[in-house]
Amino acid sequence: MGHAKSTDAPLIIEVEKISKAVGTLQILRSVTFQVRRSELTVLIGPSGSGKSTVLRCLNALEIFDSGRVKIAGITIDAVRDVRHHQARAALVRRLRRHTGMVFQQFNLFPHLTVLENITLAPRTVKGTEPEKAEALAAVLLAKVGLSDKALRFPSQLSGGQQQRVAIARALAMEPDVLLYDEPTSALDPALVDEVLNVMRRLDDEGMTQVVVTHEMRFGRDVSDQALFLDGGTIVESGPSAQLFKEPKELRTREFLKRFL
Amino acid sequence: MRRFAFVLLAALAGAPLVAAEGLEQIRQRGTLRWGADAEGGAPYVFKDPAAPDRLIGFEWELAELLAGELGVKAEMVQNQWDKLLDGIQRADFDIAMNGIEVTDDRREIVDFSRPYYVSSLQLVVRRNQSQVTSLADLKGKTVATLKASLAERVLRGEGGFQVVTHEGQVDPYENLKLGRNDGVLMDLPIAQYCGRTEAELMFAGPPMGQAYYALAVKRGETGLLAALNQALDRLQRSGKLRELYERWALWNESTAQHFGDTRPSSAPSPAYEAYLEAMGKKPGLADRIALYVSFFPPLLRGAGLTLLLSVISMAIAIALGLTLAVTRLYAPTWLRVIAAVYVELIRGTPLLVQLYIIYYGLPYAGILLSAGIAAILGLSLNYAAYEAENYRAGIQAIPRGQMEAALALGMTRWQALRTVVIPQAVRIVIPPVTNDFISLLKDSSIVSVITMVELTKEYGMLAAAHHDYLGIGLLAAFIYFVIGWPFARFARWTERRFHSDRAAVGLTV
Repeated sequence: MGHAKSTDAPLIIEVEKISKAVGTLQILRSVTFQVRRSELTVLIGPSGSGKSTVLRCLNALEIFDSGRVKIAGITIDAVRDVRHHQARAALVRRLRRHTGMVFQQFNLFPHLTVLENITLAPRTVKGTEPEKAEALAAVLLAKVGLSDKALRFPSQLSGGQQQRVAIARALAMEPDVLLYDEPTSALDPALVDEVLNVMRRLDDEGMTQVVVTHEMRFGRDVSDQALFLDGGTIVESGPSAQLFKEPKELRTREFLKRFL
Repeated sequence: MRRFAFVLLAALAGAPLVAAEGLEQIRQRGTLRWGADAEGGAPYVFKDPAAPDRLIGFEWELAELLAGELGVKAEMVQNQWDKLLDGIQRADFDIAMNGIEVTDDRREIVDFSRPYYVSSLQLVVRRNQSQVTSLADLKGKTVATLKASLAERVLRGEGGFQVVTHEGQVDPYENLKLGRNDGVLMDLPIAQYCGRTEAELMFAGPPMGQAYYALAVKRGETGLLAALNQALDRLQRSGKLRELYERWALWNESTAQHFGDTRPSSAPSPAYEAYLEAMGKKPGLADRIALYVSFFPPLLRGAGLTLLLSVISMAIAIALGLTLAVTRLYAPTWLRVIAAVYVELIRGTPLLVQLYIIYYGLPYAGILLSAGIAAILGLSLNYAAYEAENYRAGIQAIPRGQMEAALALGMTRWQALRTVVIPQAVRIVIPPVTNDFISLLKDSSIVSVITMVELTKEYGMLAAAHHDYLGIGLLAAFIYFVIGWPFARFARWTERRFHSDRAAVGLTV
């Protein structure tokens, strides 16, 4: 919230009543929310509340049973069957071109150097020339402060450095939206800030970001919108300034009390 | 022997096999290709005990004479003895000549020339069995002979013996000396060269019956058959055949009667004498070392073929195995089922059976493969099944997050596999795959059954010629070890390297 954003920016993510069950277990119940361009949204809630599942539905790593997701004009409908999901693989890939993803465990490719991690997707998916891909990678590495690590392997980097490389890798596809699934949960406390600082800087540059996180202070200080999930539903949502300081719902208050 | 090596190379390179369609082709080609098994041993065709890199024998010389009569050169094709008639069917060579007796059921498969030699069966026992004077004295005892030979039929027809059959003609006598059997019934020439030459063994009773050795040709080759018969007739009339048999001390009563040439014989037998001298020699240490050194060229040539076969087969097995693994994990269901059935079928049947089907069975379906191609095909198809399981395990060991990260970047499943998952899986399975290569290196000895003269076959032929299974065996084993050792080290090294990498990345399987 350190900077003002226009509240009439266009919607870039529209999630409409998505539900998902695995067997008899209802994981998501009619989740609905929107994200405006350049906003930073945090998804918070206790473990098992479904926040990671919501995030993974946004780039179709998970399928859902009903409802729909619309991102940058591309609509993904519910399917109940994995096979149908694969039948529309091309549509799913188009959606993913618009959404970068950063994982809790980084998921860098251990057999490739930092530079190759970043250039692999542009070269493989977009057919970008090697020189162009490497020039872009150099810019991104500078942005995350790791210009000197281009030729290292992931195993030679600290956790914080690996996660910054993962962010650069996601940015290399020039997505409209960056999705983060607990990006700092696997890090030593001392390394958390270097990752959050990169996310802050991206927010300043106007990147649209959706972050599943337990970093409540980061959520309170930086995000524009906050969604509190519990039991697969959005219990409370609203501007971060309001949700973190004056939560309306009892469950939200109980949850936040433990962190702030 | 250079010719011989050339034949092997040609077979390996998949040179088209020329069907033996008559005399015309032999003349055009300029060679008479004859099939025999040099592992069989003396006196037919065998490695010269005095020069292990050379083949000799009375049939080797007869082949030269026959080829001379036809105006061409002789070219021997090495072929497992009990598969010689199959080789004729496959047209791997024009004639088979290796002590093959004329029998009614063989006449069903091939045509025979007039006999070139009349043999008989000779019983050999240990010297301490002086009470044995005829086959009947061995009723209820163990009698050994050559697999698929006339002697085997006689023994089984007579009944009452425990019949043990061997692939090579030296082994029965070795076992007789060791007391593993009580008598050996084999063709007189073999008894003469392999039995009588042993101090502990002796002939028991006179030769029995008559067996006609003749040239086998493909059925319906009447032109070739007539030419061969005429050639044999000329060789007999000119006395060249008799002279040949006398030199090898093989001129016998039966052959004399058959040739109608009953003049008494007192000619010397220099070839037999030379053989006795070479075998009877008790060499000093220096001679023994020189002898063993002389074994290296043939053994190393065999080792070269072993290595070549193994490397090519493994390369194909890896490519095919990886394809099968990816198919089993990611393809549509019906393809997965096919891949799974392939793996289970191949793993569930012996390599030997697969090789026989590919080499001797497929020609009946109109697919005639050269020995080299059949060997590589058999080994690679077999090992592909095992590599498929290695790679399947390797791919499954890659954390799911790797595939998800690649998909999230917009890759197709295939792009993710190709650039992210498979390169890592291939690294993980380097140790087990290398181990399989070492095991393939040794399993490749089995292709000697389809005429490939690799390291083990060279060993068998040398050992048969020198009656030395121990010393030459240790040499061959040493060569296998030397070839395999660097790969074993490599596997160990990659394993260590991989484990330290993983510890650094903190991956768990």
